[in-house]
Amino acid sequence: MRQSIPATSYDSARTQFQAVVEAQELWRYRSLIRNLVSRDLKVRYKRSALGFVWVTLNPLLTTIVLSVVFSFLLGASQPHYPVFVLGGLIIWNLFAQGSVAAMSNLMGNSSTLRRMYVPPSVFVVSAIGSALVNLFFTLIPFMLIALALRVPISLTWLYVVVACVQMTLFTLGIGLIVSTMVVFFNDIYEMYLVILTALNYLTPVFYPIGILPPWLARLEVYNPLYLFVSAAQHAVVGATVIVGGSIVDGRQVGGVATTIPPFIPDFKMQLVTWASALLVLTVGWLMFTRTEAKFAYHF
Amino acid sequence: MLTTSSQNSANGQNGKSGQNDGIQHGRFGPSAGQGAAALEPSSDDAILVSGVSLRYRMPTEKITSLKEQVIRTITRRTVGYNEFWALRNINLRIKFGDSVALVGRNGAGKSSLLKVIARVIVPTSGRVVVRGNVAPIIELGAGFHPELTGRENIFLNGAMLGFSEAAMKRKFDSIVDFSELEAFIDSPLRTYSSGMTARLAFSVAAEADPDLLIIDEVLSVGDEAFQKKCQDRMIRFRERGITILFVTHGLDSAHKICERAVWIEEGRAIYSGPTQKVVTLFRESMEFETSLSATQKRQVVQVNH
Repeated sequence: MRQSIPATSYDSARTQFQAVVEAQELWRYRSLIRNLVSRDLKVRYKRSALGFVWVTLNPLLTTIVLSVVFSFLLGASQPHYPVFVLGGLIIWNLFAQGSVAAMSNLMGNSSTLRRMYVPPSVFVVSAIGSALVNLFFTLIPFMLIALALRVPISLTWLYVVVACVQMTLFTLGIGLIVSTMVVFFNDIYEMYLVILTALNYLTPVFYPIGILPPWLARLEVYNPLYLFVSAAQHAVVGATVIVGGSIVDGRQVGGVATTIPPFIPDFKMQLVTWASALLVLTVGWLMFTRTEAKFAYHF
Repeated sequence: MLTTSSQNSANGQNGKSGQNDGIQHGRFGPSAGQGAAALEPSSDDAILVSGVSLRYRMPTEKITSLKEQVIRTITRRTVGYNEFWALRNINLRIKFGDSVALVGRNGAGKSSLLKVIARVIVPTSGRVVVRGNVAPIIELGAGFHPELTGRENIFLNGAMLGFSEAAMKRKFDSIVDFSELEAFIDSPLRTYSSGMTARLAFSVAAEADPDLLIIDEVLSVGDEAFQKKCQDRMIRFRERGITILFVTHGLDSAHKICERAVWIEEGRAIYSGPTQKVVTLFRESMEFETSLSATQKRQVVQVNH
């Protein structure tokens, strides 16, 4: 016979706060998260000849396309445009890929969740984890391109890491919110893809904010996505401020352009970005953990 | 069985009070605590199921999109539900080292009961308390990925049972050994037969060194030699004092592995006792039923309701 009596591992009537229980369970299943992230990468690249090269090649090719198109349209209004756009894109992709994968990962593993106990947040967190690994792989060509195009190296580059961390927390929050919703209404998935495309154009990722009409540019302060993306872009290539002139057909005509060297956000803006990332994460976590007991009935 | 909740509560008669194993012998309604006082956990319970009911609500028109929901809210059409009680006020106490077989016909609620105990689904009412590590095999292929190799799946499945990678590395050789799948361990799981998948699943669960082994009817797909091997392993588990909960249609294996059996019928635990006795009773009832003509069966159903 066994010597010790095992501790209670499950009590359906426990009164603890589910948000705390789920966090503890998530930690207990951390090796599963690691396994799922590596499984995701393996399955995705197992059958393609170029394998991991795809991860880095994809944003690179997009950058070339965008550089050709927008360098022509935007002219000199953004210094180091290819680096600017690649920096913006890889952080944007973290958000876009991560939040979409959160939904598809949770639904894709619904058959597992119907048959055995696994804390469901594992699948959302591992989706964000995969997006983060992809980001890491694209950061390398990003650095190489920045060096090749002779963008002056500066200490402010380090702030890119901070922006990535904030974006990760924010993405996890949004990922939890949308994946909770998609369990109950599966058309949320398609709707979210449309919203994501709209957000992509509304957020100055591949164009400088200066080309937006002033009323729209002022609203971007309330768009956390813009704050994270632009913080990273500014930290690497700086910004251009145009005084005077006017915008005709979306293009800057006349005016005096002043280039600001790479910089990091001021203290207030840092506070705002951290607060918005953590707020969204908290809302997402509470929403997910409050409804997860009902998931099994809807899968 | 499809019924509405009002019919169900009308159906709730008081069962005779339970014996100390917590099983009530008799029929009772779905609401918790109606039959007998709720069971309280005691220190030597491996599993306590107290007044557990599980209701599935199946909308008469299933709404799975937000669009439909919005249209419905605007047009103020409400949706009716068909309610299905998969479990009705189940009381079950399994002590450490007990080996219990669940018998019953298809759709009686055996798998639902396992899912409630294995924490897959939260019961509609009642309480489930489980002590110790659980290794569940509820459906074949749960926690496996078809594109990954047998080797990778062992680690994936181990992680889904909550084990660290280091622990799985230690167990890896004995898992492969037990499964007898060395030759196929680096082939993708989609190339495995269902019998081979069952081997792998049982081997992982068996080597996981659980305090509590929950096994649904998945071993029946294995060949006879492997079934025998699993049976022997489960008997060894029982001797080592590991708690076993086992769903089976193979009544002989129930008899070999388990000391006690519980008969589940229409979501109720209708009989509990020594395996031999319960299995004999269950078998007689099944034989009686197959001997009836279709007309007689309908009459029996009418009498029962």
